[in-house]
Amino acid sequence: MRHCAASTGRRPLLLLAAALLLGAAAARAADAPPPSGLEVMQAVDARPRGRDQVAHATWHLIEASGSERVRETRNYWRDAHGKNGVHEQRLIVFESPPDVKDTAFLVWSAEDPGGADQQWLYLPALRKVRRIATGDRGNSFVGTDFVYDDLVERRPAADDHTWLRRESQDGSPCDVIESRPRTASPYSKRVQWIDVATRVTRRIDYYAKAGELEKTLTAAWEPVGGVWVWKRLEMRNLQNGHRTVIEIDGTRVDTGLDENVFTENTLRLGAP
Amino acid sequence: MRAKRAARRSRAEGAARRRSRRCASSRPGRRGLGLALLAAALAAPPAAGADSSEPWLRVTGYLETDTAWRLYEPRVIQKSENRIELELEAALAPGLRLHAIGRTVYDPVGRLLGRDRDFQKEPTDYWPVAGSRWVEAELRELYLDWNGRVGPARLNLRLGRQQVVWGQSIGLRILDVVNPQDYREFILDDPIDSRIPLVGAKLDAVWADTTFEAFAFPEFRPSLLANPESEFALDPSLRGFLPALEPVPAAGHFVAVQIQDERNPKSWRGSTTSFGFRLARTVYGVDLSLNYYDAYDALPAFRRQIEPATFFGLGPVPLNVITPDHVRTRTLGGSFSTSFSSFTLWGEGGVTFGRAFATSDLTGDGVVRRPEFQSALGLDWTGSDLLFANVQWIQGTIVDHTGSIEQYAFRNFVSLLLRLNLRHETLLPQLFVLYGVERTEAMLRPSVEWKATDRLSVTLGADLFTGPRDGLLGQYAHDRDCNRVPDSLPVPVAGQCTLMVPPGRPSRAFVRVRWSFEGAL
Repeated sequence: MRHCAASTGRRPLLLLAAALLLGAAAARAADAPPPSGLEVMQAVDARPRGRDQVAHATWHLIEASGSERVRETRNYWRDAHGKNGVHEQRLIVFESPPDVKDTAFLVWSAEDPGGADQQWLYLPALRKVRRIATGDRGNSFVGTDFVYDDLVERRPAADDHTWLRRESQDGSPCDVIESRPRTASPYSKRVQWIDVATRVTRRIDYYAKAGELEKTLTAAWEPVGGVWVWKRLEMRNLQNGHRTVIEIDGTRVDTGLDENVFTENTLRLGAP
Repeated sequence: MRAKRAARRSRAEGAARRRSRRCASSRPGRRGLGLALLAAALAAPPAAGADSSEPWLRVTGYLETDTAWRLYEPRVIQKSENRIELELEAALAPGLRLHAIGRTVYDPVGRLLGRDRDFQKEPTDYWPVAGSRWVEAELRELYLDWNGRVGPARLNLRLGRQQVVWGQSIGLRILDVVNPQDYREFILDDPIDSRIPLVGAKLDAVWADTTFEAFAFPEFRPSLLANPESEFALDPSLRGFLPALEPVPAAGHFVAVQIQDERNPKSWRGSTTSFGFRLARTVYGVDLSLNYYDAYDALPAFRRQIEPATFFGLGPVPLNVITPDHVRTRTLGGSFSTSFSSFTLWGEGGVTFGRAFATSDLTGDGVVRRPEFQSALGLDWTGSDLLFANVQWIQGTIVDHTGSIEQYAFRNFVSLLLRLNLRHETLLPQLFVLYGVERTEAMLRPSVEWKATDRLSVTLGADLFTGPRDGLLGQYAHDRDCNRVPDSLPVPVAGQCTLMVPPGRPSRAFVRVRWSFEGAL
């Protein structure tokens, strides 16, 4: 019963043209001198995302032993364009299983790279919305291998970026960027594989405060409505063998979501 | 004398039973207004982001068995609630949903209601099963939900039986006062289960980062006090919560009491309709709300009238006629919440004007009305992945308190909540402690929940009480001392415990097993 992205007869032609353009861009990029880490991350930040997105996600929480728990969410995202100091707004509403159904998480990411995000959590058992402190963004998000910091987009100025090398990831040439935090972060550094052609992030290695590699995120993308959106994410915790796989489907772009959706009131009453 | 006491007891039990009805029937009415609102709402476009391919019907629910054992004599099963709850969400049209929650509970023990219930007089949604065993079925919530837009505002209109939840505090209610409450299990029941839903209309509008919520509930339902014969019956030593039954001097130690039926305001009348609003906005990282609620107090005030009466062989003596009544109150309050570092600081408070308090002054009707100020200040700590911690300070103050008011002028409670999130939030040990400052009393609630699968959870825990007999929490730390039970209360004979007098000390250990299910079309 999940919705799928609408397809039209023109879509194959558009995709072919996009692929040709991206291939040409990649070839040009491969010949060009390496950009700085900041330039790459600014290009990532400037990548088109649309005004808003809605998607359905299935979360697989997989123990090292192989046992699995499944959560389903509906995700809403909106570019806030810096209004009232907010960079982007994200709403995640749990639909399944029943014991977490209607749990909802709302975050307003600060426009200022050093600014504090604002987060709220709706607890259906209490029917109350509780503001969550964002000081330590390293807390696990509802038992997954993602922490709150992983769910919000860090601004380029929030880290010092160093271009390391160019190498292939999942068959795509990528700039490998090391990002060390200048503002609050649960990690000592992140190493990111940025697709040269599309500027999407294909892989992130997360290093713990102590310096050891803690987690690895791999991401698959798909084009929807003229922008690249997540199709599959896998966060693997290398410390305990636990991993979280998120399968995202039915993504829609530019649906007309406005700021009134991303409010504490929506948490109480349910998403549109 | 015994016959008089029996008659008195019967009247009291009748009043108590009426207080204990969980599901007063609701009359359909004022439907015209609701339908007009609905039609207007349907004419407006649905909200953006709505997904037309969502399931048109979702069914979720659970089967649960919740068994508790008394930790003090008599060490018997206190409850064995077997429950099924069904929740239906139907997408009727874009932006229009029907929501229903129904629940059926079967408890073969019945100690939470009292043993000597006259089932034949209960509402139709109670059915006796095999003598003292009983089944309770209840339509908890049933409402139409419309989401849409009018101009730049996002609107939600909710029509039907529903809950309105305000405030932030955990364990005690400050602003969470819109729905009456079921106190059959004191304050141990989950809030979502103990709130008594009301029929009415609620409109939420969000515009320019501001939320405006307004509602009107034509239905009146009283809060439900525990039956005098039940496990969590209020102790007569607890000052101010039960009728003020001071001995009438002219009659010496003898107090003749007649408890009348509870006088509830009639539903579906303009004068009875409760209404309120909430205005909420986030300002510089602080969530602020302003709340106002105007309604009949769901807890009864016990009015007293002393009338001469003739008793066999005693001649005319003063008769203490007690009438449970409800008074209109107005609550003005607000809340805030903000976070810094790993802490969230929040608070809420409100002044309730016109609250009725029992008084020992024999010259009046047994009730005086005073403003009451209540507030809570809390601090959450989320600095660790493994631990959530919360402390609260909750206070209540009766403004312009006079010596004759039975209830204490000040009440202060502090609470501590510690919850561990282990094994990717599948093992959740928790401790909640509520401490009453003035009476040096406490309630301790340790528990551990194990989510064995996505569908199956098992919770083990205990509810423990300590403190003096005249404390709100301490009252449950003592055996019922029949000699202390005044003759005037609805118990059969002072100084002689019978089956009608609960044994007291209802501290308990429990195990709860829940299996959840879901489906969609």
